[in-house]
Amino acid sequence: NPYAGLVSHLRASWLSGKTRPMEYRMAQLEALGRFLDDKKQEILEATELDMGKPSFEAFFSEILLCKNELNVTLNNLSHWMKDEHVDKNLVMQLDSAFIRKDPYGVVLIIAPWNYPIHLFLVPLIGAIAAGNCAIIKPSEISKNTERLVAESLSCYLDNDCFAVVTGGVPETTRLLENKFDYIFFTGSSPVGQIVMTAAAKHLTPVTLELGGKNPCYVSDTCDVTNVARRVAWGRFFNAGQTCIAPDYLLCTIEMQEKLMPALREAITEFFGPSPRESPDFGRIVSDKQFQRLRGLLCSGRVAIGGQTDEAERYIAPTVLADVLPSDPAMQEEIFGPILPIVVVANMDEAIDFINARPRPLAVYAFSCDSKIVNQVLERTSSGGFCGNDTLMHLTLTSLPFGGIGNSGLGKYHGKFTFDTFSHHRGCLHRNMGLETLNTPRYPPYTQQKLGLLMTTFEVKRRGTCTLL
Amino acid sequence: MEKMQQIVGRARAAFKSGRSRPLEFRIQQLKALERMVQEKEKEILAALKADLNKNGPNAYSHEILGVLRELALTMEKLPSWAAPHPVKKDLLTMRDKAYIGYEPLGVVLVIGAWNYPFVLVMQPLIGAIAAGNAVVVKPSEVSENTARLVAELLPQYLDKDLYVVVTGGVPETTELLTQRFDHILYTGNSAVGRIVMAAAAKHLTPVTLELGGKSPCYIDKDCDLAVACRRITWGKYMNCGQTCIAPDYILCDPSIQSKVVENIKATLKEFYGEDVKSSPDYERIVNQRHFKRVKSLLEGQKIAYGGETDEASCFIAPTILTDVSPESKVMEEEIFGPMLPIVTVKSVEEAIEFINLREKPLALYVFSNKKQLIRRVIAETSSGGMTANDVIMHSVVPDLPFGGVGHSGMGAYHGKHSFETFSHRRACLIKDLRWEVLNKLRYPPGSMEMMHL
Repeated sequence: NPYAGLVSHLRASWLSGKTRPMEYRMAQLEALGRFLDDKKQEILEATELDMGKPSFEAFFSEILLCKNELNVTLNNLSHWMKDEHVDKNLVMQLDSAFIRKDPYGVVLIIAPWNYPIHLFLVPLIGAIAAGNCAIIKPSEISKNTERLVAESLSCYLDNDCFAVVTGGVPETTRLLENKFDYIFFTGSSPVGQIVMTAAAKHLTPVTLELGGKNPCYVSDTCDVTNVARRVAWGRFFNAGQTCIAPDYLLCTIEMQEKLMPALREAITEFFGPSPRESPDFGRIVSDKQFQRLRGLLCSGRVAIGGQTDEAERYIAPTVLADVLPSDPAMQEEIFGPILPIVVVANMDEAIDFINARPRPLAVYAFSCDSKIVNQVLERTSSGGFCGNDTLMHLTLTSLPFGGIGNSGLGKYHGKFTFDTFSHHRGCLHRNMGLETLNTPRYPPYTQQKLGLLMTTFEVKRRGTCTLL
Repeated sequence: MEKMQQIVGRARAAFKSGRSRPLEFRIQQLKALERMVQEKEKEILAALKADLNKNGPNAYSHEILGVLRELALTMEKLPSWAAPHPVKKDLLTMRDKAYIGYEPLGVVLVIGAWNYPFVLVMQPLIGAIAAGNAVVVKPSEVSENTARLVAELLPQYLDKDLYVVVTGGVPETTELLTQRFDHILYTGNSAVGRIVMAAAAKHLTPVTLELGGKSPCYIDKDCDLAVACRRITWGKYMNCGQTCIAPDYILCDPSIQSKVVENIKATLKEFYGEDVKSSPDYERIVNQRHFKRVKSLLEGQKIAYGGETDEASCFIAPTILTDVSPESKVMEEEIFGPMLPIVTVKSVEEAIEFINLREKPLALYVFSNKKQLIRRVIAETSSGGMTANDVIMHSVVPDLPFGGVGHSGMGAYHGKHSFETFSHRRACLIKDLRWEVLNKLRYPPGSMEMMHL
């Protein structure tokens, strides 16, 4: 077990108690902030090398959103760490009943390649805030960022408590043989299953942030220009390699016709007449992903884009019209700059279409009629929902971010990350006196004692008790 | 016996019909459950007597009372629990609606245990119904009378397709676990907990595992020993020690060990009289297999009190073992029987170290007059839950989450925590299609100056 030494070293640090004081946690979090500030340029460069990530996008997702989470945590940590006192009944008025937030111990964070800093750093913020030690396993696919993280993070964080492990599938498999006190995984559903199965051996709780096909319903009553912009933004951000990107559009044939020129205009507005030359449009992360995506282009008909360049791993912002449910683009999560449009007759058909499929990470609905947006919300199930926009529910730190069913289990962001990495321990601190109040509970058991117990426990609805 | 696939399929179809979602429906089902508990009280108590030799007032207070309380609390609070929770917005979302919606998960599976066979299926069931789910209940086959009764009663009071009882043993449970559920709540031991989680992993099903462990009980020299020992005796020997949060073993200074024994002895006589075997208030070990297991833990031990057994009636007397070695068998596994080992330690530091060398327990107990010492024990250990200066009682505070950590489990329930366990918290952000000018900040062509706004 090649990682046993590392894990036990972290566990020893954990047992020493050094990660528990608030001052320690704040200091580590502040160091993470300095990492983001000092290494900003390196992060932008590494992510550009990895997937042509535009600087603007990289700054937004890898720096800005992370700093938001960091600040929310630093500002609120002392409040989050406090014991939560709860209501007590009559008998316990002199006692203290509270929920204590205990760290778990040594946690493992496995991050994917698409937002390679954000997706390890935001969980790490919560793990540190909650008082844990952590092993970070960045993705080997975004190899420039992996190298950056492996080389520099140790200059900022306490190396006795936080470590970076690099490698691919074999290394991750060996890593998962060890016992962790929590595992936080972001990635695909099949690998999520593998992680949870490995976790089961040690009874390790997990959070799995997975994926799926996020449907986007566009009703006939809507501002086509704004819809097109918001959908195009969400779809083509990071060249489509976003877990909550709108995966496919559902609309009537009339709306498809109206949307097409609007989408074309939005794409031109964003990326110019030749997106390949725009500094604001990304590339596909690997040859494997590029080949996979190219294979999806034969779905429906290419209405916008469709150009590819293998050397650059460039796929143009593409919209496919008249896509059928049986087409390749509808068989898997796209994770690329391709937007299929599936024509439906009406909202009911769109909802049935969505509900016939595994529950996605996000559902989107666009309409000027709020009743329609609400119907889609109420009649579907998904990790999260955003009406009349895409992606934005992720940026609000007060909203929980997570999946359901195949798209994942657990949630994080803001306080939810802190809660994810804390064990909520029910504590009752009783008085040694007032022993007479306890007499009704002791044997010998009698009807009279039972009557007293029922009074003290304030059972509001008394049934016909045959004993009394 | 119908195939599991069909049973679960029917529950799923019933859930998809949407009828379990309106609050009125859920409350109506909970009211029906309440009627069931009130009308069938005699039958429930009879089943508990047959399974565990629990007598009336005992069984009522340990199983029925808790269920009625949970029902009353849930019916009262459900509207507020289920209401959408608006969240704090930021500059970019000021004009929007942002809230967390509570939605049912779908079809949940509740697997009960045999030691508190009624409450351990009912309490999760209440939460699952309240959250709007369909529920498959699998009571433990070991407490067969209660299992049979639950299977008979539930369809008489509740929606037959939404809420189903499946009975059977290991083969039936194994088959059930191949089906897809949207949450599984399992109460039992760690070994089976692993099996449940591995089965759940195939469908990416979230789980709540209420397992066990050895719940330590540290008695400080500075405490009212008589009171401490009375409370410990109560929690240890109730249900013949077959309680997941019973104080499993005692840690104390050698100088008070004999006083602890004396106090517990005196309390036992107070509770069960001179002849414990003839006390109507003392239960039995659930079956031969567990009887043999618990009895074998006596081997090589110094019996300070008790130790009598009678295989025919699965009787094991309340027993105290002194000067127990940490390496002995009785200190290896969760006892789940009326045997109380005392391990001596010289200080609270030693006690904390002892506890931390072992798997995290479901409960932890500490008795002391010194608030500082108690605070220290809480801060330097971890456990599912804990009570200071008493035992068991943290599990009856409705607003405290009840669950384990590490080998003692994951997730929690009781009261509001049940509702949240069985709900999906869906992030909802509803924006306006107008006000596009605000969005221009984020669209390409990007500019670093824009970012600084």
